[in-house]
Amino acid sequence: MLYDNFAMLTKRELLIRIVKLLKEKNLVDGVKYIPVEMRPRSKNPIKCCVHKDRYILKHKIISILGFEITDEEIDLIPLSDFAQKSLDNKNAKENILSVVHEACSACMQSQYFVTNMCRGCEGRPCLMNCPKAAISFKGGKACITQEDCVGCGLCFKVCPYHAIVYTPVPCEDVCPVKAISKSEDGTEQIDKSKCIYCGKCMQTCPYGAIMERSKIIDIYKSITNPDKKIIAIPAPAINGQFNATPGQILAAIKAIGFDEVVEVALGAEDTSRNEAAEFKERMEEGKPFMTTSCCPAYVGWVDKHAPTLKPFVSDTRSPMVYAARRVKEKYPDAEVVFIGPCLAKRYEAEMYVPEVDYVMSFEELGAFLIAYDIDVNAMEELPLDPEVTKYGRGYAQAGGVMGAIVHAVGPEYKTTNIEGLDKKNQMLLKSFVKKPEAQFVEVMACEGGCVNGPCSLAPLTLAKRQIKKALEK
Amino acid sequence: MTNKINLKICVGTMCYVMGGAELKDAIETLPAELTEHLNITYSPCLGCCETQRPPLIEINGKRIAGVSKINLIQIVKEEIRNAV
Repeated sequence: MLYDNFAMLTKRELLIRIVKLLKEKNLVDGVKYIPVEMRPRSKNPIKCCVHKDRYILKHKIISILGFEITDEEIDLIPLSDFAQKSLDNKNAKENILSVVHEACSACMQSQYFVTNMCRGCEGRPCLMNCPKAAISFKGGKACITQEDCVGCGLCFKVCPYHAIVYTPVPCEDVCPVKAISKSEDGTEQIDKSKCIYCGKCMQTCPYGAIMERSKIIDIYKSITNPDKKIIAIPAPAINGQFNATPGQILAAIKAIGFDEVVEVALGAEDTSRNEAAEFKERMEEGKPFMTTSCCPAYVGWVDKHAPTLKPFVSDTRSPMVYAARRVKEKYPDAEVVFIGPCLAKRYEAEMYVPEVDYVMSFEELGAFLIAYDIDVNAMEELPLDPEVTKYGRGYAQAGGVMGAIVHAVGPEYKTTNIEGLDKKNQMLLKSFVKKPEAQFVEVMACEGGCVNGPCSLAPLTLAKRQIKKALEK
Repeated sequence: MTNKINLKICVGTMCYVMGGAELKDAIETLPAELTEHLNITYSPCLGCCETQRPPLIEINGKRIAGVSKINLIQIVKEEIRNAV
């Protein structure tokens, strides 16, 4: 994940400030000062002036508090009212992912464009190589007819003067399923019927304009309610996120106020067991191949964009489901909070997993730890569950599920793993229906697996090393 | 060069979340010709993130706020050059 990016830091700072105010029981009064404190007049404005910057922050705060930003009426309502409504459980934000329109800069439609660096050379490789005859010369300079251009980029590649540039729309460029596009006013909109909640757009937007639905207010209320039992289930990827041991991380999460912390890796043990049995059964029935089902963005992609693959997706539930079930069996009245790096888990939990009450991201967890003054690497270690093996914790990384299944069924099957749902991998997966490359296929929508999820805290390279360390223990 | 340069990276939760993870990643992948001059420690919260912009580092006792991956490497190189 890209860290040298101030939009991401802004989101984190907003989360930290909001949780701090919650903890000080001062959200309603204090929230209105956040935009001014974060964008003081003494700093150079990012957009046209500090007022616009503050206004954008206001909208982002409204989004974090759990409200949809729909029409101009919200400008008539002060932030404090939103905070109060949110504390009163009236924050009914429906969309898991939405565009904060004030922040969206309405990027220019992505296109190849000839700049005035063009010297109209004799070679004119742009003209010669364009497969659609979209280039013409006017006044001795190249010009692209946008209606004819198919965006192949050949002219851009062959120009010896680098005079042709590509102006991207970052969110549209990274969306693997073309679910995000321009509305009439030029700002982006997300098509819910296509979106698989991979989170790529949210991660990429240089304005931080795409925001997820947050449940931090509800989670805070449950944590501080003495009559409620609340149990955290952190995803295996947690072990790569901090400069600390797994035991210390569990202790840090518990210190926020959870009654208990159960590793999702424990549920991963159940997934491995069931999936291995299911895989053997399917092979005995003569099925050509089976893919994993623990990545909800991949499952969403199959549902919405590749229905032919559906019969080959495992019916085994994800580790989150089994972990939550174990908790609910032990404490039927407890509330379960899944903590993970994944945006699509919010969708999975809402649609298919009644056992999970809330989903919290690693970024939100970071905000809680900071607001509660918890130094993760100074914690006393909590004992780890002996039932959890390195195979369960290994689900954090690409190849981990495959490793666990091979460990369970033996090496006689052909296995492969696919990381990322780019165009190439989408084609490859669809081709498996006719000609499978392997019998067991692990699919992760994020390159590198869950550790590279859109809501993770540590950069991938560091997270991988930290996970390796945790698994060695 | 006789003494190693003391480099302390704050990995208190605030610094870590607001960019310190990136610093840790950068330091762990530094080439040996730089790390041989350094005595690297990861410190719990240095206690000044309320007033100064995280992430913080301390190099030979000097505290520097708001460090990014790129200027961390510049700071380290600069310090090594001055020490030689």
